[in-house]
Amino acid sequence: MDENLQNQVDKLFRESLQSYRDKPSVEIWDNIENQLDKEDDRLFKTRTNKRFWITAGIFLVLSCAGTFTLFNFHSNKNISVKNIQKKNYDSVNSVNNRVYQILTLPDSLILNSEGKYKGAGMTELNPGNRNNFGNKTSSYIGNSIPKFLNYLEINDFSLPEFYPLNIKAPVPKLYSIQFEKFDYSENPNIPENLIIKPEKHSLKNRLSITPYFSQEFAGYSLSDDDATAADGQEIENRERNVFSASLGIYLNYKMNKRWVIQSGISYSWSSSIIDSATSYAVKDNSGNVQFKLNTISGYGFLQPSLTIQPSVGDSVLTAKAYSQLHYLTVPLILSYKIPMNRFSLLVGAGISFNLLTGAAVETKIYGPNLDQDLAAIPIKGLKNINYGIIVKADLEYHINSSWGVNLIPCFKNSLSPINIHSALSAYPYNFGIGAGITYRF
Amino acid sequence: MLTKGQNIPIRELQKLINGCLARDRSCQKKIYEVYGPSMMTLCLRYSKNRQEAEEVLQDGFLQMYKYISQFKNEGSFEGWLRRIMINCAFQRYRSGMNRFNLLPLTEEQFILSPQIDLADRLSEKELIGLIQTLPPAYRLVFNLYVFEGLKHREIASLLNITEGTSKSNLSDARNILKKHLTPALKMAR
Repeated sequence: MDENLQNQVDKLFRESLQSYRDKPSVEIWDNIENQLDKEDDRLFKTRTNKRFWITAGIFLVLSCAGTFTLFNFHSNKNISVKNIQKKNYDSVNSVNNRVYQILTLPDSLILNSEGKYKGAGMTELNPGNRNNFGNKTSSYIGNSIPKFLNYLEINDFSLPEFYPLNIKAPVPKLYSIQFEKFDYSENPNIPENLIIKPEKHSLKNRLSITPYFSQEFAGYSLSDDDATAADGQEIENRERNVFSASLGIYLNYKMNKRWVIQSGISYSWSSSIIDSATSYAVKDNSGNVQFKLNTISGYGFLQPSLTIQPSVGDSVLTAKAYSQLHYLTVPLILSYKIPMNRFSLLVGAGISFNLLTGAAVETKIYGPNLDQDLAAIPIKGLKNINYGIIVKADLEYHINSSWGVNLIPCFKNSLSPINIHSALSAYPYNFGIGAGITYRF
Repeated sequence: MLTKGQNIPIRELQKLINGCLARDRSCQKKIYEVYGPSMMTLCLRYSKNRQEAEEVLQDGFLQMYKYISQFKNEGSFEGWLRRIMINCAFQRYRSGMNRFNLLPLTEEQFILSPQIDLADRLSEKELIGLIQTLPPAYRLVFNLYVFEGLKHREIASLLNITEGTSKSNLSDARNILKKHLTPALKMAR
């Protein structure tokens, strides 16, 4: 084909259709909107499901731990003979000129509510060894724990007749058990030293504290679902976190050998830099026209000393701004303890409540005949309280029975936005590495 | 840096994009109203009829809303949206490739083509109607070469054909169009 004609064909189509616009049918937008509605529903369900499963997971862990703890506390109501051994350890150190040591009986050596001994591996008592059994005092020496304990009514539900006063194990195997018969009719008041109480750990023995300091690497998950999110992307791009840290104390309550509840309080602060930007004058809630500086967490009204009141839409240039947020945090964490010789690892998850204690931004503004420093501008649009999840691992090195040092990696993620009526909904998160010292009371 | 959109200030366009990111329906509709007509023209050029063009347009806008977070505020939003529309048209071409007749139209088929008013210069609708009469493969190559300004090498790579095939398809497309246009072109001279 003639090249000139080819070019003319191309040119004719290109130029004729360059500015041509053809309006699509009305129902096309309706179809698009229907599809968008379906997509929005799906996203909403996904987001809701995610939060539901996080909440359900925490609830499940707490429920399991609570059930386990209750069950364990109930078990402790059974009588253990451990405390009797300890009580009499100092008074008896030899029988028949042989040196004895305290027998550490297994936890299963417990007399149930019917006075029956639940232990295993007992041998039949040789009746010949029951010296004066039935009198005030009786004793037994043999190479195993006697089965006649089955017949002793030792429990905390019905008053006991016999109490094992001493249970000692010689080296190698020889058991010596002394009993005392108690006559309730003669003495209704049971002597304190004969009462066998359920084994208990005092509150003090269960508590420990861990002061710590944590350096954190923070960021925000942002959601633009606020109708005023016009400048969200721009705000997000120009702000970055430069420093975050927490200083606090954990109060640890040991429920049993494995499970620990941790709470406490911490003070955290977070600093961000906001790049230079233009701030526009808007009407605030009271109708005054002020320059508004948007940050990820909220916004501040700049109030320069001006001779003329700005009009809506006027603008000033703000230099690099520094914002600071301060929070008091109360965590509630359920942790599982994994002992490893002199180390122990506490792995836990829980929730934290964060109370806003301060939020401010400082910057410098430029404009026609204007060059002014502005400090301590309050950040508005922040919620006073927000909550989040906290997941932590606490590696402790036990220096001795009272002191330990800790390395505490921790991840926190807010489940509720820290702001309201702002351009963006901000969900802060941070990963921290902390160091602490533990003291057990 | 975002460049100025079609009849819309940059700041306004940025607000609309942010609104779309927040899935704000009013912003989504506004963007559709601003860019719908120009994208409809593009879709008409890439489709065999209006119905198919509207389906491509619908798919394209849905894709744009879904992936708008991937728009990096660099360059032209309209250019980015055009690429989405062309991709949608191309997807449709590929999915229906086996069903389409890749051979040039015969003389008999020309007779069945819409009658074009050649008494005066052709209207835009008529020109689009002509493009729509092209076989899909020719139409695609013609659009990419004439309207998007792609080279044969780029078209060949995009459509996974040889450069020779691309040139041949373009030439055949022009031949078909020329047969319709010759009277008008002569008049234009």
